[in-house]
Amino acid sequence: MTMAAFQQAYASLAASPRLCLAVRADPIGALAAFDLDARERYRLASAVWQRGMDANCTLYRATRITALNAVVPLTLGVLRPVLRLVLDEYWEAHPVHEVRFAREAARFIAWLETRPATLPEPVDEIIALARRELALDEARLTAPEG
Amino acid sequence: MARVDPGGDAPRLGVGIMANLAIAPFTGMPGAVDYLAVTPDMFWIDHGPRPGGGEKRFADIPSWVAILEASGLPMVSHHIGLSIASAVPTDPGYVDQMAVWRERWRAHWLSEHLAFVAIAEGHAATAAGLALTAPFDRDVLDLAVTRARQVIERTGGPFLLENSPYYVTFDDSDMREAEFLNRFCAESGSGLLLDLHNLYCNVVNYGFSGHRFLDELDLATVIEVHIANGSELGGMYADSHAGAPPEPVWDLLDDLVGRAPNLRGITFEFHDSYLPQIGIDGVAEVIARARRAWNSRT
Repeated sequence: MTMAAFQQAYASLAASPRLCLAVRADPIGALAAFDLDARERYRLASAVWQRGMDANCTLYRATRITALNAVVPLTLGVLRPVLRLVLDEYWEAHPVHEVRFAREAARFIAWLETRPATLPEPVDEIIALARRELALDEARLTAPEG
Repeated sequence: MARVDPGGDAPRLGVGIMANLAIAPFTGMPGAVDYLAVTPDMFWIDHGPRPGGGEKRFADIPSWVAILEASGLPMVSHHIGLSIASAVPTDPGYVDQMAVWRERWRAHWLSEHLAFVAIAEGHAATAAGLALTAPFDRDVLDLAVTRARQVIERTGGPFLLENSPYYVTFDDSDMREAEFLNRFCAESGSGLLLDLHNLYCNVVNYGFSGHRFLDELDLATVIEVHIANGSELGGMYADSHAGAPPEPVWDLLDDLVGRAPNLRGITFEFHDSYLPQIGIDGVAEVIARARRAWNSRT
């Protein structure tokens, strides 16, 4: 059943401008990891030249940053000078989106802890801020109304 | 073409709004809107499938649920987690939750978008990170029809499919979009949630006539309409819910209302982050104009 592979490949393209460029350069090689038939391969090799694939890539990034911004906005603000680099590396390491915002934030914080050299000082305070924001979000979601 | 009204015994509700926290003070005013459209996924925390049972999978978010408890308005349920066009197996726990939610809040109908968000990851399913539109192929249609029938059987309610904006096209699809939607409704017994702004996005991005698209649709299947606004994104016009609908969307609405005999409601969608721009008065003006269109039905 190749439909599942097609959808996985299409989603992977939306998640990775780098993969889109690779498919432009070498469609067969860059899509070799996916179990596609000829029609599906042709469709994706054509799709990466469409203007709308840029929009899909942007939407993917907007979705993922929305999840983090909903839970750890102050942390993202502190990281602003290096945010693009940090997020690119994070999304490369974790290309699969976690729809549960708190879990996505928790995974992001755990990943930040492994990347102290990427972060501005004071690293420990930034990590602590992120953890406090996550705890606050969990308390907000479970607090009774009023 | 559909011969049976897919809205069943659902009432004609009038003009509603997509619920969000920012708009709660407006919807709380008597007569402000006739109903609330609710994306239930915003009102709960999904802890994920629990194969071994144990802890409850879905938990209320109290601040959101309070909107519904306070409103007393009729409600319709607009989902984002079914992933109706996805090749991975249906999530039965999610469908169960659709039924629980419908029963709890007496939702007059349920709806979902024509898209896939769940993708295969090894032997499991995971989220794509955005909703993507599949090609309009026969095998995708079969998949969506089967899933819609499962939802109708499990929830007992009318089910609607929403047309999506698409930013990538597959020109060798087995059929055109309108034919896909018509066949889906005829084969599944579902109705159509016709998002006129999504249609307008596709009109802008691909240069066809939205009115001619309406001519191709079986408009007897249209149960609900969405109106909204959008914005530029990566060189495309995108469905961002950025305030009051643009004039071409109103033109499409005026064209549609007299030709959709089973229409039950017109829903205004806007993202709460745009409330400072549009303002409460702006929201009220959109509702008033939509009411004029609703009342013009023949």
